[in-house]
Amino acid sequence: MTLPGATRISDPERLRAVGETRLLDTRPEASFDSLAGLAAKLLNAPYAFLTLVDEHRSFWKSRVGDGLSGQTQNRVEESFCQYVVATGTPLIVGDAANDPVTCDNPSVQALGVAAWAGFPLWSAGGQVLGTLCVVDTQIREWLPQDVEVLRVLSQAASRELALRETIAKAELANSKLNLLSDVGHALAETLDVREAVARLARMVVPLLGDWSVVSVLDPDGRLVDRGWWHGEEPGLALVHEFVQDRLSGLEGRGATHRAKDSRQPVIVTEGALESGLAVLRSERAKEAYRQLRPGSYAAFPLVAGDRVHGVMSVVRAQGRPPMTQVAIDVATGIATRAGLALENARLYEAERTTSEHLAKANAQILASGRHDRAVARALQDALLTTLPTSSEFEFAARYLTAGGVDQVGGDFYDAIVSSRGTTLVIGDVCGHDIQAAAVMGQVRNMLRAFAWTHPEHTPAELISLLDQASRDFQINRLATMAVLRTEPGAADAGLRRLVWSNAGHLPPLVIAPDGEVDFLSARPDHPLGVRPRLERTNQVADLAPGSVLLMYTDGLVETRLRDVDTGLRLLADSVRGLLGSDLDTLVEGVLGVLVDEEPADDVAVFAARLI
Amino acid sequence: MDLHVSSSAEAGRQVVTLTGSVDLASRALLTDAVKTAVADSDVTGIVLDLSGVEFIDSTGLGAVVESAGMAEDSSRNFALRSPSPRVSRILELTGLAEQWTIEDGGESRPA
Repeated sequence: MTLPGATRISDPERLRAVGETRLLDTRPEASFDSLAGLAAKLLNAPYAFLTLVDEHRSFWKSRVGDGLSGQTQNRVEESFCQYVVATGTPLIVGDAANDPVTCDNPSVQALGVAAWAGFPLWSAGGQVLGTLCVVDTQIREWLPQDVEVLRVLSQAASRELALRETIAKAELANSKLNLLSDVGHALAETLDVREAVARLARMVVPLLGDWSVVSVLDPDGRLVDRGWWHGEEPGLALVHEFVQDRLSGLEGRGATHRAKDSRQPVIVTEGALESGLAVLRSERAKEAYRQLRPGSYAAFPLVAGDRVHGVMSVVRAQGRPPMTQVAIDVATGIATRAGLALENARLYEAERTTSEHLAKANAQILASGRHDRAVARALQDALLTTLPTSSEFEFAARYLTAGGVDQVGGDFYDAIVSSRGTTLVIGDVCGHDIQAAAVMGQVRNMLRAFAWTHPEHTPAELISLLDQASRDFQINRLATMAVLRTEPGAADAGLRRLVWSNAGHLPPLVIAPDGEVDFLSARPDHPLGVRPRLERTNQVADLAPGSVLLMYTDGLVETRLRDVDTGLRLLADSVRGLLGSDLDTLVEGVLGVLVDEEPADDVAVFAARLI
Repeated sequence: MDLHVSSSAEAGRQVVTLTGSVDLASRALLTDAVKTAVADSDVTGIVLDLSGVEFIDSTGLGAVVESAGMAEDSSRNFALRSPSPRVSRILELTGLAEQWTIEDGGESRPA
């Protein structure tokens, strides 16, 4: 059966994006269930689903409602999601049996779907992955606010999907970074560096490739295969066969020699079998190579400065995608370490070693590790908020990540513009791991949804909702946050009223137009994630137009060497020195005074000027 | 910057004394000690003696919160004892000072 819009549904690019979520056929998860649950609740609908649609079926990652038993998917032609995926636009149907788009859908009769509303969920790359949808068994009119709520929740769900994508990539990157540090240790701990280098072949399989060969230069300057590995037994025998005389007579030709001669990695992303067979001379090597079925081949020179010490080849079989840029970066890092270790050994053996040489080589090994943390930063970037345009405030914000490789933080800031005013948020989810960043994403999404759907709630009420939601969805992380909302029309003439509530966060700073600098320092309530003894409270501040609110996380003011009060004083002093600056200069200036080049903790600074 | 953890019984309560830094690297020492203490059916309450804590970061605070949760789950009293001025200030700023009983340590700090 050909469906209308079938081309788009079976678009290979889209199907790849759906597959890459790695969420098909996975168990329900709180972060998605919370959004589907909110959709059902806020739209007062008996059923809500968060679906991922491939070419055959609509998989229900989240399903909310009674009587669904164990069903976790339906066929794409029975789904209503098909229309959303096919068009990339929302579908809002109040009477499914009499709607021209949906009247022939079998689920109208079979399941009694009377009304349906759903929005597309988008991948970061712009593909429709599925929908967030609600179903009613009664004919109903979807009100404009219903549609708007669903739209906002679907955006939160899309962001969550994008976050997952980034986390999956970052976790993979993390395991590769660990490999890099393992290699560093292996090289540092061994006495026989050449042996250690030969063993690298074993360490990079299977993470970087299916098999690997490490070749080093012999005293005559010829490449000799010194170590090899394959993840599987028959393959290992074939690689053993392959390396017996594959390099003989190949000087200047083939990826391995080209990597040696150019001192640059040589990456063959496809057709490695054909190009290898065209170069190889030995029949024995050709036969083994053929049976190994190589798809892509990458050769990394083991270099130290201008000197080449060998080559590490990493091969992936046909059917496995070629190495990604992250994998290539990691392999290059490993090759650099190995090259430096070999250079070190050469200097040592030549008895020209001085302590200076060793110190320099070791410093180089350390330095080559430093660029690796760029990978962890990709995650942080995905979490940065693009601030909205507000008629009440102008904004500036900066986020600095901590110095260490494994430091992925949970700091966040946000601004939500709703019908009643603007909500400003600064927060910090405790911990420095990928989990903290993921929880932060959830908390921020929920808070956005609450702020937007409850414009009349006070900040204390919003944080209390988050308290409840965190309990219900079992988010057990300690988190601090301050939430500030403008209150229309409540203050004296010429002033604007700001209602705020502080859940254990460091006090925001107010810079009045006359230059007075004050902390919003009423006693804070407890953070999120503790069992509260006390109710949350609101505070009020009436501000003159032109006042600046400066919000920040603890990394700005507190370090091991500087207690928090010293940091707060320094912050206030630095702000006094920057009076009259524009917001960007203010934020940069404060960071310049308070934060080292390589902060030990993440730092978020968020400034908002009342217009 | 390490953390030293020792436990001693005191009138039915287990006093877990912390000396040093409570942070990501050391938080498990604290939670392990509290886990062990609540597993002992003779223990009626948990006291964390913080007089020797020079530094506590947000992950360290998380460990204190987790300890309080374990005590509550197992129906034990929970109290903090003699936090250093720096730690007291952090408890105040994070709104945690009102969450728990904070007692003076008698000999360790004059009332």
